[in-house]
Amino acid sequence: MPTIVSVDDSTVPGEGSSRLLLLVSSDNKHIVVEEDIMSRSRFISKQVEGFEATSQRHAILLPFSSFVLNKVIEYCSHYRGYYLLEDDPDAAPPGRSPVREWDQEFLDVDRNMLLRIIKAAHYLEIKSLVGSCARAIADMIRGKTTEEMREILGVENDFTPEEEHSPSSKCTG
Amino acid sequence: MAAPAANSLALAPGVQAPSRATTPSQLAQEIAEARRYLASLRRTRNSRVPVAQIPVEILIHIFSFIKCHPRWPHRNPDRPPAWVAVTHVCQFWREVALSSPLLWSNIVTYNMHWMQETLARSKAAPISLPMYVNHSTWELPKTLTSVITHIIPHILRAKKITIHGANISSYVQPLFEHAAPWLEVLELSDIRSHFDNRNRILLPRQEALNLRTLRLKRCSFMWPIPTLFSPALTELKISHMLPEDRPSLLQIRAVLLTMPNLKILVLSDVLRKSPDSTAFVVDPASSTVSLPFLQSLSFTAEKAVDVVSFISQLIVPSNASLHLLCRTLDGFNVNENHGDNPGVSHSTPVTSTALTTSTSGLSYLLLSLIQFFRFDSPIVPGAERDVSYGCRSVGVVELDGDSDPRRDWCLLAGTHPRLGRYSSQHRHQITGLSEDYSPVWNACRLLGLPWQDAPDREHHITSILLNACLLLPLSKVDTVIISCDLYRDPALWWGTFGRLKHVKAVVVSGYALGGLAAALCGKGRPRSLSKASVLGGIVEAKNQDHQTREGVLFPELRHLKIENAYLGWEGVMDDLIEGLGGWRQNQELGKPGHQADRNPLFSLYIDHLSDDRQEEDRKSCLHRLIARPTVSTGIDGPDGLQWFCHDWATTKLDDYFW
Repeated sequence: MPTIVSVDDSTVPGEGSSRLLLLVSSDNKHIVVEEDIMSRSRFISKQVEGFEATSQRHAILLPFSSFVLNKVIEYCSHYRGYYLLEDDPDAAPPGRSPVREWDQEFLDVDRNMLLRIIKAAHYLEIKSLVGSCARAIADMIRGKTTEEMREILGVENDFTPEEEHSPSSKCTG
Repeated sequence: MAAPAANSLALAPGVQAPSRATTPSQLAQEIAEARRYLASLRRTRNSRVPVAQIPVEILIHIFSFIKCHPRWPHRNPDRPPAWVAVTHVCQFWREVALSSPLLWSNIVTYNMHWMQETLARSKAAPISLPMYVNHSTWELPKTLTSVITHIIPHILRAKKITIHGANISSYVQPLFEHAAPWLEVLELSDIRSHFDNRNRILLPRQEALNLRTLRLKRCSFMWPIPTLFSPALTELKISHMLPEDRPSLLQIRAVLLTMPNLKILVLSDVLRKSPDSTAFVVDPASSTVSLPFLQSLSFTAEKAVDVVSFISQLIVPSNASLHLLCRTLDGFNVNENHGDNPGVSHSTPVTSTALTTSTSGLSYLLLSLIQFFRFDSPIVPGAERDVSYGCRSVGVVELDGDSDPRRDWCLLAGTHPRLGRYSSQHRHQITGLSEDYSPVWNACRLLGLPWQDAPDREHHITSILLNACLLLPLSKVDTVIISCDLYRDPALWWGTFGRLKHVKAVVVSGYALGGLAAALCGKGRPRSLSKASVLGGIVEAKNQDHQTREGVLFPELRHLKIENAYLGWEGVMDDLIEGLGGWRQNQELGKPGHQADRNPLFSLYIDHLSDDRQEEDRKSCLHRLIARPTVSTGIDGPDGLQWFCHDWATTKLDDYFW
């Protein structure tokens, strides 16, 4: 659960159609964003519903850096007002659709940044962004040998000799 | 080389340096312990790298993307599925992959070891059973029989069964002896070249209540299959039924009446052929089949009349995609007379986005559609109606009806460069068209116009075509294919197609090129296209965008293909150059959204010029047309224009811009 702090109404202005939200990143950067933009995030939507129930407005503290948060906001801003099948809780899960062209450029970042974005998207419950990141990571390692995958992901072979030679895991990867 | 100091081998606390008295087996044991310790250190390290922070559910998500992607190397019966490589990256990934039964639900049936592994790892999850049997990877029938024996205990959780192979009926029958309550997709495809009814697939004993998709290809079975023809079906694809198994129109109709949820319907070579010279007679009082959710309909039959009989029984959404194919207009059966080479039927099929038929059948079907086919919005001639139907392509091809059609077809067979090669062997395919099956004759019949008594037949034909095209839902048409010499008159181009503002491609041949060229440069254009008289009573919704470009024929033209045309015909080249030039000028009028660079002619394809000029003259014509200093076959013309010049060889249209 995020830490929620009370905020002064003057910090988060706005009533009616274009209400603003105050998001606070882990590096203590305050980012004001329109509620509409972040409505793609189920997590934020739930928070906002909570605010309405208690008639109190809060800043939402998020456990990732402003750099990552800004990327997520950039994504949400780009698709503001768009219907994305992945974000529809009532829609069937999408099949093998390719990564959208804009998403490909948006996610053309280094491995660690990509992992941070996917974690943030998962935390904020933005399914479409999680899906695009997952596809991007899958694209990175698809068709590679096991050794190449380890190199890309920065992990080492941590199997014991017994695990490595287990008969059910023979692989030519 | 000096031996390392004993204490330098003490890798970690708890690992003792070996003494000189240690036996080789003890040393091996210590090495193994050291390796285990090393593995645990690496595991700890791996748990702290960024990739380890990915939540498990996302990791499963990533694995599923890797697994499903078709770019993995093709299956090899001696190797495990390629995606399994991810389970060898690290221990955590392996744990995650093995703990997710859904990842293993696509059972590997081409490798016995991996089949058992995937069956076990999928635990109780619903499974897909793809069995692609070909002789290079299977030892038939032993392997398939063995596979099925292993699968039967798990058939209860089968969600999708796909079997593709030769003579599959005898092998798959055991599968149908058992209930498959979760089955949603069943696909059976037999690849044998000659099949008979000795190995008919017997009906599954248990009803597949959850079946949504049924695809049967070259399967021998008795129509219908009550246990599979479920009312819940959303996709039904049946093709290449054995002739003696084929149902009648009434039998098909009876089945479709029970499937109101169909979204995709494909029936190819399923309908029993009607007796020669007659169409199926359906009781006019019987109710039509309503398929309100249909998105795509593909229907293939030998005879055009049978296609018409079938579609006359349906009511479908107006935006459904239609693919209709008939091989012949008369009772002639290509298969019976020419073995297994139906591809040499009298014409090359014209493929379009929404409507497919053989060339001569096309006009017949177009006209028949008007008469018989029931869109869910009524077509009332003369009344205002929504013209935004889904039809995307229209063609009037080889429709020369200004003289004896039989003679014309003979002439066509002898002179048409594409059809000519069939003329010696298969002449009767081309010339076998009797007057009864002449598209023009049928047009007259369907529209109630006299054929023999027409005082000005050409005028009547023109009217017929015009009215037919205007009656069709054409506002979204993007392709026009004209090989009819009547279209040498530019007024006919304007009259028929002047209102179609979204045409992207035109294929034109013969004298019709002259009409197109003249129409492109504005000749024959009526004063106003907004008059109801031009539209034959159909009133199209006013559109400001259309109004501004009213003076341009095909303002969005991107592709032009000229086939067998006579460029040397008087004025054609001049008109064409002016027409295309004028067309470009019209883009430069500065109207919003229609800048010069927005509507480039992407491709110009010239195929087999019917021109008696010398080659140098021909090149000269082409120079003028494409405004290039030299002529060569290639791409990259001026102003982004791509062009192809293909003088002698006949190449498929699809190879270039379809």
